Amino acid sequence: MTDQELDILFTECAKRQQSVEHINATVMRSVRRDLRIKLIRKWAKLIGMCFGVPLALVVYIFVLNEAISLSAMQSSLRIACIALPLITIAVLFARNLKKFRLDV
Amino acid sequence: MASRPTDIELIRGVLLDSNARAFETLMKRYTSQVYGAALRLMKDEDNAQEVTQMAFIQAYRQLESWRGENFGAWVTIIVNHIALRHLEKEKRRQTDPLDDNTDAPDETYDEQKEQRLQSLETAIAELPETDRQIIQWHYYEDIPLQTIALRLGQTENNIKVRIFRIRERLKNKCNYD
Repeated sequence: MTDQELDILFTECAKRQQSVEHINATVMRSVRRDLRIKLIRKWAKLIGMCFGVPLALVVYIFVLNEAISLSAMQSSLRIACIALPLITIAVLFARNLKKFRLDV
Repeated sequence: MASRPTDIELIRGVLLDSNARAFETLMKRYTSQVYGAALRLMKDEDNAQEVTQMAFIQAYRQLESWRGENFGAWVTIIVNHIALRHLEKEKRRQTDPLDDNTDAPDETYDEQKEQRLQSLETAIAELPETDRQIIQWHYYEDIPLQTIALRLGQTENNIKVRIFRIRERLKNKCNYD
């Protein structure tokens, strides 16, 4: 290989590097956008879990309590009826919370 | 000096910590290789750039399906699929009489040139860190020899000699390849 050929190759290499940098920058923009969307979804999920689940629970317990009151059920049975779904939901909530991470 | 993280470490960083920098490092290692593969099929720089970008974005989104093979080879397979799909679409478009195709790719691709470029890039990558840096500054960033000498705390003549030696080394390596 002559010096001239090497110089031509260096010029080509520099051009190639520019293309490569352009590709990297474009891909990274897309990757960062994906990460931002992921972060927003996580926050939305957290807010949903913190406010949505308790709200649903309150409504559920209220309706259940009203229904049981009307049916004149024994008090221990009434507590069991309310406690069972509450415990199930609490366990599911705790499991979800354990997996939850905000660091993006 | 911190050791260079392996591909697996970087991918773990992306998957477990959503580390964008880890993906950037990983990508920088293989962009040239993947772009070369894309160029080989597309024979057009703009289209090759586009499919390479698509391949890396797809690789990022499907990183969980990576099975531990060579990352560069994995993305190259993805880029080949995308490029072939792109070419098929292009072919269909060209045979469609209703479609007036005006942006046909310019066939400027030269296999031999591509091979030489790849071998020079490999040879540069194998140079010691400082030599690689000198090449980067001098040939890619057009930084004057005097500035390079100042940065490295050497004389301009020393840098000239060093560049001469690096060039000889690269020429030998490329001839050998």
